[in-house]
Amino acid sequence: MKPFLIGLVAFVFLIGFSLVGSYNGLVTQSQKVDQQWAQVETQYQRRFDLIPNLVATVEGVMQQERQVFADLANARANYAGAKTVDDKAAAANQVESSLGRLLVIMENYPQLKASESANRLIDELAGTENRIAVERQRFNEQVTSYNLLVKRFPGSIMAGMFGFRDRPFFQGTPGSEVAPTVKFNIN
Amino acid sequence: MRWLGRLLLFLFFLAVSVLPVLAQKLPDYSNYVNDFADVYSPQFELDLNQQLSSLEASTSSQVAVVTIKSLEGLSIEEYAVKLFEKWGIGQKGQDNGLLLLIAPDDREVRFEVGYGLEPIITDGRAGEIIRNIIFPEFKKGDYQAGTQAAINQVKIYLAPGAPTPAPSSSVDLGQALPIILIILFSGLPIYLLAYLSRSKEFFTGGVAGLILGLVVSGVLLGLGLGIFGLLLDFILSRNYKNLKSQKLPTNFWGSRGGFWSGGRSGGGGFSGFGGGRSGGGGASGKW
Repeated sequence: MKPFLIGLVAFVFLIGFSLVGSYNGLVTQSQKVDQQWAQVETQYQRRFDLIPNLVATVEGVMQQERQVFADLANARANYAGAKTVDDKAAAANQVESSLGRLLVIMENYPQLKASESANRLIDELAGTENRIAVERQRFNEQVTSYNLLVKRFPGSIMAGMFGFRDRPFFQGTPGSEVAPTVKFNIN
Repeated sequence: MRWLGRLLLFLFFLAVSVLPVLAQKLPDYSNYVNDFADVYSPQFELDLNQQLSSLEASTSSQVAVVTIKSLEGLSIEEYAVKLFEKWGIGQKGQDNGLLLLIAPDDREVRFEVGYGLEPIITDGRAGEIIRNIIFPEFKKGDYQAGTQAAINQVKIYLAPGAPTPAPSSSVDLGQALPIILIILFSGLPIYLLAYLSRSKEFFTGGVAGLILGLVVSGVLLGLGLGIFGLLLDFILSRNYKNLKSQKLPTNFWGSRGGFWSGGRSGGGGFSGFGGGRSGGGGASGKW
């Protein structure tokens, strides 16, 4: 009886310990996903804050491009009103595509290329777009390793018990997954 | 749902099998200046290395200058962020690294700025250096003059005031720990008590108490030892770095177990990049 009891206790102890470890692993990975998403949102916010400056700088020169500015203002309002992560991602994609269009149209205005303040803004925007791309990619990598933890054997038991769900990847709207190339080539 | 699992598994293996290949393509560093495209003279390299070494000594920021033959099919932004990630330019925790990446054959330049330097070398400043300082020289084919002028400007930007500490991330433990502790100290006992009151046997209580005690004390012991180990390693590694930078022996006896070293001395020499990170900040351009 006694060896059996000791064996049982040791066994239960081992199981308990590995479950705690697996639970902690899930919590940590899940936190990391959230943290990485926060990084993405930080960059969205940065882009959001840059847009008014850009518009103020170029609007005077680009008088006849009303439509682009209206779209951009619209998308920006949508982003400001977005509450859930999904809404935010969708609105951010909208901002991205109208911003991309504006930047393409700007190429047609040589006087903007000559302006140092416009160039600086373009740099900031290009840098922000690149940051968004980098942080999004890292977000997806983080989601991959979290999802594997949730789906694979030892973790899947704990995940089921405590309600850890697999998380969706970030997906851009078709056509916007390539960040708008905003290199102003001076020749 | 099964297909999703398979897809994830497939992606995982894809990542595992592709990443090392990709990592292998990226070169290793040997100094601050890594002239893989061979556009600098040895004398210029030596001189620039010395300048960047004294820049690190005075500001602790690490600046890497890299010229490459080929972008390996990546965009210069992707290449720069991957190289930065692999090398870890800048001090760990401060992320005060800067990478000047030049691809002469593709006629492209990029400044990749570490998280910690983003407030100092803004994208606008980086772009300005590229457009107004680098390009005029590079268009003449004078890579050395362009690089030197750019580094001069970087020195000016980095000089005033100490580099600001990175505000970002590295808080996962701090966020996760309270949750873990709360679960351990409140949720689990309550759940156990509820279970015990329902079960008629008192034997279960003993086993549960034993397990709980072991787990809790194990966690506490682990935490204590972990913190102790962290401190010990911190002291030892700092000591190791000191010895290394002074070119003293770092084996066990030579380092006297790591504790009783002499005072630190200043002086140049490149002791490797410190593990800084970047997130795509900076600017690039094509000339």
